Amino acid sequence: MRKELFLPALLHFFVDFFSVYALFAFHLRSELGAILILSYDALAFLPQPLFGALFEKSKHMASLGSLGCLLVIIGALIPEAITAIVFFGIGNAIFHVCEGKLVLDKSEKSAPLGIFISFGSIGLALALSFSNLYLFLSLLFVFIILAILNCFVPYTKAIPFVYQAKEGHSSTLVLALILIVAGVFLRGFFGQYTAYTWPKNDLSSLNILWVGLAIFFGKVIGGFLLDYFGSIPLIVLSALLSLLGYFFPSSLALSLVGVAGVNLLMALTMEFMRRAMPSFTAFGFGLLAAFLLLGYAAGFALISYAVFQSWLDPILMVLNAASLIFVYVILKKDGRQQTALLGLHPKEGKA
Amino acid sequence: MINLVIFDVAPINFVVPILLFVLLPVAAVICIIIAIVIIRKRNKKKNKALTCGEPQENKEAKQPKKGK
Repeated sequence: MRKELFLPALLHFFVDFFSVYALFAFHLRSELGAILILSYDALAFLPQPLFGALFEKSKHMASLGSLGCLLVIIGALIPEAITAIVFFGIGNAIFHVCEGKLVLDKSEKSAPLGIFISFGSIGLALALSFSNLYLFLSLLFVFIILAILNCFVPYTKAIPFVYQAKEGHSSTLVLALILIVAGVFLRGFFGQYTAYTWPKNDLSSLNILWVGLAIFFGKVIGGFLLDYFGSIPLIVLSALLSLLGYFFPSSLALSLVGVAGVNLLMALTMEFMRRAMPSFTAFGFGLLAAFLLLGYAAGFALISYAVFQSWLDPILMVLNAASLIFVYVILKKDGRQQTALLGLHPKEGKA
Repeated sequence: MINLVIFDVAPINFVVPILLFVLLPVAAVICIIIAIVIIRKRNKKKNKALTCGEPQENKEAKQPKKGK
């Protein structure tokens, strides 16, 4: 992996850290807190397809990513919650789409995709677990330096992901895209719906940091596993591990393995998306983000406002795996499947 | 994404459910529709430019080279 691709991942850490850290510095509580956080999530995730479509053909993607960072920095310095939320939300959306597209287009392998998305969860977990003014100011200084540096890094030198559609074939596979989005929705849903019995809502405990680390680990390792073993083994492994959280909800350790298992599929989803829609990776990235939030919100709504149906969880997990296997079949039919380093037929179907 | 379970949301409050069930999906649909419209318009423009450019290229190709 080329060194310059670590910079978007580091920036992802800072963007998520500052957004959440500064938001929680407003001491949001109860319903009002939930409304403001939901508004932040909506602003950060839902406009991503829109920004993706707007910036898709831009030649200044890195600079736009830095603009997103700048909005987050301004938000972190604003002492009023609602204005800060607007800056955080818009900044987050622009950053994720632009840097996400950059990594998707400039990385030949899947590992950089996993690394990019994983750093955000560490930032989020750290922001929820620690509170220290010196930490805040020193990290803010590093963030500003890295955001400026991002404008001048020569990303053009990285090995790009290139896919040429077959003659007469559309470059976008709509059915594959719908299934990928459905899988993301389900993942957001059951991630929220799994009934862990250990206290995950206790901010004073280190559980939130453990969950963040499990998510980080799952996302990072998912990209590498995808490069080495290919899609199907990864989907099966993720399905088996994610069921652990359902069968052992009282065990923190096994639940964390389950959380990591669910997150193994993040890099795979991005890989599938760029193969299903290679001409519109920014829009595709935004689409995944928007549906992840919708699935998450649906899971939260169901758990909060309806009688808990525990049998739903494994069914959704299996459905998620099935939808991704079906996407793999569609991509393979079109000659777009990924070639694993340790695959059985390494020369077959090179895109 | 910040996990909402850390907030003690009471079901009696109607703002959170309205946000969850109405505003969020509606906002998502609006954003996606606008994005698709932008992409389609851009593609149309690109196709138009391609089809308009083709005859001109042919015309240029058919023109006899001067000075030889």
